[in-house]
Amino acid sequence: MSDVTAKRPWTLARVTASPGLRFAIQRVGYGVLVMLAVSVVVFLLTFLTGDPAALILPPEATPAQVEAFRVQRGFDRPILVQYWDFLSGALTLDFGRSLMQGEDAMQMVLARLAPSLKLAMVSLFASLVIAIPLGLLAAMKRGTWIDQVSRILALIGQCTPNFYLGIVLILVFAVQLRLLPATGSPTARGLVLPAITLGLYAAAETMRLLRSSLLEVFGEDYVRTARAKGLSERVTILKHAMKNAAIPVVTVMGLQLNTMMGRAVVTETVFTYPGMGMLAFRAIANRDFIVVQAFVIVMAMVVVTLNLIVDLLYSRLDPRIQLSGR
Amino acid sequence: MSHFVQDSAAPGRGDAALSIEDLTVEFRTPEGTLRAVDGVSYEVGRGEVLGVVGESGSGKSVTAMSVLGLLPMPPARVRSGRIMFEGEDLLRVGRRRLREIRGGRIAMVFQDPMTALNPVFRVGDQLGEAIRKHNPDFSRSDARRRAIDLLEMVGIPFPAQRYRQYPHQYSGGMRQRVMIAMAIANKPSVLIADEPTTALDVTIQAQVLDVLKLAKEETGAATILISHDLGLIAEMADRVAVMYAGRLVESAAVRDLFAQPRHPYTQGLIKSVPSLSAEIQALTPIEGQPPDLMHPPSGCRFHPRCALRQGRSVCATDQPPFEQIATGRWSACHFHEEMTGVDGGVREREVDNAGSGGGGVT
Repeated sequence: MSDVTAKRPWTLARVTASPGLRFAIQRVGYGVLVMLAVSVVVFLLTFLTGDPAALILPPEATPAQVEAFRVQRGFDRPILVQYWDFLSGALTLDFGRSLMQGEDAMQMVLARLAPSLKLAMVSLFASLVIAIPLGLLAAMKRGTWIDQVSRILALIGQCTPNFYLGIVLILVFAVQLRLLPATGSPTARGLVLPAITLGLYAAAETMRLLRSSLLEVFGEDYVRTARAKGLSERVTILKHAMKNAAIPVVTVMGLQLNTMMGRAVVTETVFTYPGMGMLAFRAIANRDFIVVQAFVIVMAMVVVTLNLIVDLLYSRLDPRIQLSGR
Repeated sequence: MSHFVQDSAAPGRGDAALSIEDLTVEFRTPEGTLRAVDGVSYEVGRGEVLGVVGESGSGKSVTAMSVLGLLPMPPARVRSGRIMFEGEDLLRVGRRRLREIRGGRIAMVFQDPMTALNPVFRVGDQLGEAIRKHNPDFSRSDARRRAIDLLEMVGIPFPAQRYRQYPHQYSGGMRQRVMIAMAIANKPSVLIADEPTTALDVTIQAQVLDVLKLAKEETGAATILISHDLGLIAEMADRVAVMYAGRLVESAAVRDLFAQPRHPYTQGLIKSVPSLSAEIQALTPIEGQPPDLMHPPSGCRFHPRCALRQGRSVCATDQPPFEQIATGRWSACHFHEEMTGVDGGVREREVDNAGSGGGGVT
């Protein structure tokens, strides 16, 4: 009998000497390509928003002043030269100074990165705290009123725009009940409302996915095997079924983190939460494209990194996806 | 619900390790209620191998699943019956007691080894889990040592290394060996093997069968071997129960059954096994289609396909009782006496052919 059934595609990973390293190199390579593509798009898009001289200088500026500004900031050079300038700046994380505040754009964004990541992580955690018990309960009580109610809640959660939800939460918990601050901040109390606002959508999605994933797994032979071994329902479901059902959930969680970073722009603005999102919103409103560029590049880096982490986590959960040959 | 009166319970030798009495199981479907098992009774004695034979949908697996309460309920529902094991009715014991019995006193080997092991846990840990569940005083390393011994016993090479691997690194035959190891891990007194070789390549079937024999010898467990493969049954079983459309139609010692079947369905089954004898013959299939259990035939469920019926109306109106017709022999046919002639059965020579032709068990 052979060790491995040759026709199984996942054994492909064993062909190379060090699949783990190969995987890592491949992923980092993808990441570099993605970042390069993002840099082109960001650069071109910010150029399309208009003449920076017209934005920055007062309307009564003379043509000579405008020209002098352009030369000073290098906007008079050919676009490819400017792109090269932008790219080489980006490689050293130097995007130039904010058109509004005059501070280093990258420093401005990075200063807000930690609060934003904190909000995203707490939101993800909040979504899991809501989604896992509800999804589990809905799957175990399939077809009962518990299942129906949690599915309706999930539907509502997925249908509610987060700026609306944010405003409703502020009105109820901050204005009416005076339980929590209306403005967000990276403190325990200040994070509650923004995290719920941001996490609810993800919670709804995760809950629905976990429910359907669990229902599929419940019908698997290995769940029957677990019961036939004499294991309790608790161990059967929480250990044998959950770990399998978690595989698609983890995949989606990675995507959720990505969209969460994007949705944070609106949520942070609603709560005036001092994160990258609100900074980006202000920068967009002020056409401070230097800051926007820095923001998008940082976001892209965050997303690429998160995806890499999810891929690694995924292989931890599912041994059939082998990154490192044992 | 029983259509026959039978005080001495099920056909068997008397010293039953497990006895199923008048079991009726229904499935609720969108189209209506389907009776998958209808008043089935059988026993398996200590150290005995009982073969349960029948087509797909005859209820043989459903009966076995009911023993350990592994049927999904709903849609399944046990309407009546008892499953007696060590003085307890398994259909009525508490959940906790049932869990002690599952994998401990009664263990099961399933049909498809490719899906029966959990893909995300190491094989050894899954085996160790079964051991520790029923031996709470075992330490992790005790369980590990026992698991490696078991892997070695069922013929897994390099058991210590294999212990650490995941199911996808095992072939189908090796996975079934693991399932057998898991089943015998706690020395059960009853072992249920539900089509243990059906999903395997023919070349692997014989090896797995040898492991199953070894497992049986090792534990001395009463074994219920469910199969549609007559060759396998002829090779392994001491006694055979034949099921058709959710009911038992015949039960006898294996030699008697193959030598002289006393139910026309059994006869048809034996005749439909390809023969490896010198003369080339066309297969003799059983005429007609397997019954639709949503709308089972009236009277004897086999009557629309029966070669013995010859138009007699009683077959279509009255359900034949499953009754003892000789020592150790039961049959549910109105006209079983007509099958005592030499032509009614098959000769010994063909039994051996059935053995080698049906399942590659040589």
